[in-house]
Amino acid sequence: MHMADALLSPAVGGVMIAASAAAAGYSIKKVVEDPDFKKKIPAMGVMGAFVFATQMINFTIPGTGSSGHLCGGLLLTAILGPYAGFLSMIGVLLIQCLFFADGGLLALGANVWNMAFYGCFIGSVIWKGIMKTGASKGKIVLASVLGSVLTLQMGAFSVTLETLLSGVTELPFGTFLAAMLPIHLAIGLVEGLITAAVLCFVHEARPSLLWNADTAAKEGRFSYRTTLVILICAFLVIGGGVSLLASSYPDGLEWSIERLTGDTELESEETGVYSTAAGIQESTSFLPDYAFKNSDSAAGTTVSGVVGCLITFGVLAGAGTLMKMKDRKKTA
Amino acid sequence: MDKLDDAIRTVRELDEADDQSPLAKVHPLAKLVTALVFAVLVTSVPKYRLDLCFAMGVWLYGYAVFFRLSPGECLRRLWGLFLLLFFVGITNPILDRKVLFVMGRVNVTSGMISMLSLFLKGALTLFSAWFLAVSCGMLNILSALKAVHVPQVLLNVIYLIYRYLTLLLEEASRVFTAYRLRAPGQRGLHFSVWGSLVGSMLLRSMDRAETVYQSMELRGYQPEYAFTDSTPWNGTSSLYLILCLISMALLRFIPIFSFLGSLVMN
Repeated sequence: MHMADALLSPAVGGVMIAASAAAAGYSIKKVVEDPDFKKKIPAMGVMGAFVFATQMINFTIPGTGSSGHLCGGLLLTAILGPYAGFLSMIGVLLIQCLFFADGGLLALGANVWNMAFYGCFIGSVIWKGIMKTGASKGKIVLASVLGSVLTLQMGAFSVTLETLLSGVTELPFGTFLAAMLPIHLAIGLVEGLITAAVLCFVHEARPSLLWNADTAAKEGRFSYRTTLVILICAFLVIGGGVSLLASSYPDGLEWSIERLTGDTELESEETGVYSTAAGIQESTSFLPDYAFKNSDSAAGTTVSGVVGCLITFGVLAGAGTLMKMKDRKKTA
Repeated sequence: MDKLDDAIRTVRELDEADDQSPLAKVHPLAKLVTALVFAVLVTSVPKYRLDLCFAMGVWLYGYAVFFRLSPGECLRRLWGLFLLLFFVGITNPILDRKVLFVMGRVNVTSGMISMLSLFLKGALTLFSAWFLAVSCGMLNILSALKAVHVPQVLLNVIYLIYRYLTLLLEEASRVFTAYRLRAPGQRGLHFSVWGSLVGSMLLRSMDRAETVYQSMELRGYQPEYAFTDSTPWNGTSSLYLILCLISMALLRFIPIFSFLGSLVMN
């Protein structure tokens, strides 16, 4: 993700240096305000060096033959907090730029923004939000993976934007983004898992080291009822709201069929098993093509989404109840 | 874990390179400003002006020869940079097909030129940053940053990261050599020990950092005096800066090489 100087114009590089300098200035102010900040300095130094050293280690990814490394920003935030973590990450990036030819002097501002700012500040929001009711292994894994994936996606988006604004590539924005985001999704996932493994170990061995993760409230997990309410709300939001944003273009399979036959749907025979199945489908589907019958209203899509989610939820709940009953019978 | 050994070697090499450079008499701030201005001038070259990129290359080559600087380790790192630039620039020849001139039987398009200039710019800025590191060393770069009033807290953190770096790289190298000996033929760190091995190294490092810092304080370490100017600003520094800036600007803004070329062609 380290950007080279050649990928930036002086204007874009200058703006990113200014933005990162502002974030660094604010972080310094916050770190100095901390009464224990003098004690924190060696920890910041060693954590920066630690992130640097561990980024040189290959972590084997099972089943792929490839390897990944730690997500530095999130690890620093989880141990030092966002402000001290951000300053440590600046140090790491400066040394990498000067001594290891990773990134450039002009690109330092952009690299700090893309890797340290998102990793530490956005990462801290995610970490803090998830650890609100205390830390547990599950929450650490969730925060690490979610934080790594999201912050890496933001970083990749910024890299694309900065490169395009600098005018060094002829690639259209969409194509560049389509190349950058999926690969960083995979990288983020792996980095998140590695970071989670390290943080889970720290949580077990010395939980007091974790930032903003009150371990006394370990048991304060979501209750069954709260989880159920959150799940239902998520179903409704995704099914009812987000479904409106669904693309009107054909999906992958439809697109392939269209390329071969000129239409997104295959012509079926009018007789036999095909027509019987089509007849059953027509009579049972009360929301054909995710809309009300004989209507093009957008509300149809929303209602389809909600109904679909509720049916799926019902089926899953039913299956769960049946399995529970079976287990009870076995134990009895 | 060759990367770790490489990193240890690089840090040591750069630490020792400081005294060997004839640029030692020049104030680090002058060198930092030169490197920054060079990066700005190179990246501001329009993407089709390959001649200006070459001109800046000639300047950097002259600089390296004059001050007896060697690209050394940097040459090896060039491949990694080219891989990144290749990913970004490969579409330029495909999408930008305007023919600029014909060389033999090959149509040279504007996309090819812009891709070449991207590679050249990348290599030049990489070398200039490397020359800065080789001729200054970390402590001098920090004193240059101090001269432009970069906050002391940030400088302390960078200084400590740098100081702990060798310590941790060596420790990591030892740990992973031991691991590799127990797990022969394995390409990296197996996922079953991701947490325990790296986590325990983290905890040990935290404890060690505290001890090392206390020892430093007991021996009179005070961050504000850790990187004071070893080379005061002098006439040599002013002359160096003025000459560097003027020569760079001349080569960047006056197309001397195009002019020379046109003389030969005519």
